[in-house]
Amino acid sequence: MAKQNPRKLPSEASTYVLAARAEEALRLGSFKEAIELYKQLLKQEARPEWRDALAAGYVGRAKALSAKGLFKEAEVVLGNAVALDGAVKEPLFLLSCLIRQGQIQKALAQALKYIGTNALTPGHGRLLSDLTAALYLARPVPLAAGDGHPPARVEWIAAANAARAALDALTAQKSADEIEPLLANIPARSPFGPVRLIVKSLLTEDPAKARRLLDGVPPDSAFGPLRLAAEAALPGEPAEVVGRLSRASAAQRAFALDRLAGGASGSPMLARLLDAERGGPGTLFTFLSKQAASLPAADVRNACFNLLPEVPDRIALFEKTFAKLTEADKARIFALAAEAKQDWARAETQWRAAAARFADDGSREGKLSAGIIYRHLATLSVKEPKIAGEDIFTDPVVSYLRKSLDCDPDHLPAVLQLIKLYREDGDEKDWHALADEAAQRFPTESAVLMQAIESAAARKAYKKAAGFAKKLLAVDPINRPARQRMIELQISHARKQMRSKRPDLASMELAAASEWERADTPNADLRINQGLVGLRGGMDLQAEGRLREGVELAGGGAVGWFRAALQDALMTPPRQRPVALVGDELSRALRGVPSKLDIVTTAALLSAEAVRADPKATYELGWKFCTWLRSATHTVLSVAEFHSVADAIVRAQLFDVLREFAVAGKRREPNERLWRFYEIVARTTNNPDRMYVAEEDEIRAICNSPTIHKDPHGSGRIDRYLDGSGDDPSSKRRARRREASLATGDLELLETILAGFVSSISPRDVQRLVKSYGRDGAVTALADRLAQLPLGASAPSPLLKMVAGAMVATALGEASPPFRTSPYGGAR
Amino acid sequence: MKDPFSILGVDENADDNEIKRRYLALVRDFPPDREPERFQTYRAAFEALQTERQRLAAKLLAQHNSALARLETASLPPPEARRQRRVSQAQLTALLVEGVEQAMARWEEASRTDGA
Repeated sequence: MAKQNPRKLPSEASTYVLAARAEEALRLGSFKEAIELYKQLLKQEARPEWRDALAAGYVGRAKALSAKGLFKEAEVVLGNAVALDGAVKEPLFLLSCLIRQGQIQKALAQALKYIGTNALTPGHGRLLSDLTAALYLARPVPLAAGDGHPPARVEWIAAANAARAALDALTAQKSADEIEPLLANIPARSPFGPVRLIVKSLLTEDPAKARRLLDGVPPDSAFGPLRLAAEAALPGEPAEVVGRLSRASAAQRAFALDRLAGGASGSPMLARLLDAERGGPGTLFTFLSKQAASLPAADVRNACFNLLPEVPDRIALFEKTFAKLTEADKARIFALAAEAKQDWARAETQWRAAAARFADDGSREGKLSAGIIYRHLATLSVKEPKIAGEDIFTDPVVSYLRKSLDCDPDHLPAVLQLIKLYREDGDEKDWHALADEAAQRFPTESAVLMQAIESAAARKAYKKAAGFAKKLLAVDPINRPARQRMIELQISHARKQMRSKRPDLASMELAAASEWERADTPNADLRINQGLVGLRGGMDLQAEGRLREGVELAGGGAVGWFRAALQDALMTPPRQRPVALVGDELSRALRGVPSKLDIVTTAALLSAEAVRADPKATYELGWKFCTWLRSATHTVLSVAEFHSVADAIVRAQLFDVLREFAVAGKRREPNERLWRFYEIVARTTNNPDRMYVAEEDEIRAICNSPTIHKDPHGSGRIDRYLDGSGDDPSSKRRARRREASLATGDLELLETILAGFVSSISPRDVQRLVKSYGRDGAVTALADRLAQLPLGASAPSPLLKMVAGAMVATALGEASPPFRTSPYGGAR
Repeated sequence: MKDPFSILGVDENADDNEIKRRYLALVRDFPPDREPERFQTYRAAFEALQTERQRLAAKLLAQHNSALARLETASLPPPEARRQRRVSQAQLTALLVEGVEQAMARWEEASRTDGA
């Protein structure tokens, strides 16, 4: 094997490659690799920038080690950085590593080097000076100012020596008269100022004065714990003293008790108690269990009882010493112990056992306790996936909330939460049943009555909704959302009547709606609809007046007439012309150039739920709006204001208008990357499949930028664009095509995977589900479960429902073989 | 957070009136304008014990140290029997080191947040 020539210089190309690799490793945080590479580079040539980069690598590595708790190793690595040029790169970080290792003397020696120098930024310099003051007083070393020392260092050392002398006098039990003159030598504005205040507070006999003095010491300074300890040692009524002691840390408590009791000899029992506390819960339990005779017995029992979750193996000792525990208490102790170990499965089992025992108790407190535990399990199951619930088919949050209400039906927040969950999950039957039941149980709670209104409205039970609304307004007469909701409901009912060509009924409906209107807040939509119904029915002489009044209330001008036109479109039966007055006035209003307010307000109108729900009726108006926008593409809109405008433009498919807005926005705000996103949407006509590779990279960069994470509206729009899940006609078409392609292409793969699930559920389980939830409920439960399978998430819901339906049919003995028909109609 | 019974310094079987009385006394001693953080702590503890269900939940779902704190107070000698108050160098060292460690931890946390 040929020997390598050690003097052979590497080629320029390999050095370049090595340097690039080193730079990349440093940038990516691969400090170990970066350190090795820069070491190799420095062997080749001692460039200062490589030496600095190596030092940065050492600092980065040291910080990574420190984050893992390896402080000694971090200190050694920082030492390597110092060896490069003799300068400590991050003095505060080095100090932190030393303090974390308990090397107080070494930390003090290191910190003292910086006192009186300008080596640090002012903020870091102040912090270091305060920390050094506390370190010096904790472990004093002889300090004397040298001849060449800067004045700031000389002042600091003088203040340090004065503070030291005062504390020495305090620990030597000298009298206040002797200590006071020493305190006067400590400059109040020096880093040792807090010592002056704290020692003064310890010398005074007046607790109020002491508290005022201690208020001058910031609790988050390095002297904070000493201040809190001095505060805890202030005399006061027993409960106050107890409260202060219980909030104090171990060191603060030891200080305070020593001051209050005059030392271990002043209270041997207290000294033993504190020693036992320091020994941990086991030692403390053993100590306390032997003190029932010498200390208040009830408190000893309670203190031991409260320690049991930390030492559950002492339950037998507890029962022997004090009294037998109930099964519910034992289960609770085991549950808390399991939670502390994050053993969630065991915690769930034990909590359920505890809840069942409490509920069996039959007392009010027992029932409330069971309710509390079930609600706790519901909360835990949101955070911990290992909390599985009672059966695999029901969301554990729902099942535990249900059980909590069985035990404690009067807990309003649980009722509201469960109603919300039923509603979100589309569990209509349970939603309506619970909303009705809650309205009976809480007849004066506006939040419940509001839910009952929504539930009744969803069932189109308008009279029932009106009944709930009346009850709600009786308890809360100025509940604006309830009034608004009732007017909206009755307007939409009136629209239905108009579409059925019954203007007389619509007119009655609107008259009923006006009962919800407050005289001081007239409703624009109501007036507009009254006017429109009157004009279409030809029965109301004041119809035009009402319509114009409504338009004025809606802001007048183009916005007002646009609103009237939308209301008209929503109530117009198919293929019927709009009211002439509205059409004429709107055309006249749209001749002008829209203002910023016009654009934003009209876009908001087009984003309303009722408008989006009926795209066919309102498409033409959306198109008119976007055509109107052509004359205003240079309007100064922020990207946040533009989102809803963009939605309207995309729905109208006027992508040239969108592009003009995006280009103008990009020119105004070159750093706002969402303008570029809208430019891409316009070029690809909202079809992500048409993106160029470079555009995909740009979208990826936008998604990864930190600013987009703070803008949920922007990121939501990017997601919708990439998923093709927008509500514009072409996105809907593409979604249908995708689903159809999945239905025909991937169905076999789905069959294979789903078949595993199907065979894992026995027909008896399915029959039990049908018995509990009815046929539809069982299908929904099985489909939900299927959706949680790895491939189930990507499967269309009709397909999952079909599989679930086939499983139910098979279990009930009425089945044709599953998966043989397409969920989209027709045999496969 | 420490348990609300200990923060307010009340018995775990204390009723509405006792809890309210104790809370008002604490607010009087530490008004929100002078001690905003401490007031927030007391307020949160008071709100956590306002109803019967909340008190039961605080007892059931967590451990609390108020009985232990009461035992410590019971172990204190009566005021008339207390001797000269003492402060030892060991205690000062422990408290000052605790302060340095806490200040250092806050600085590290702030540096991490700034870095992020």
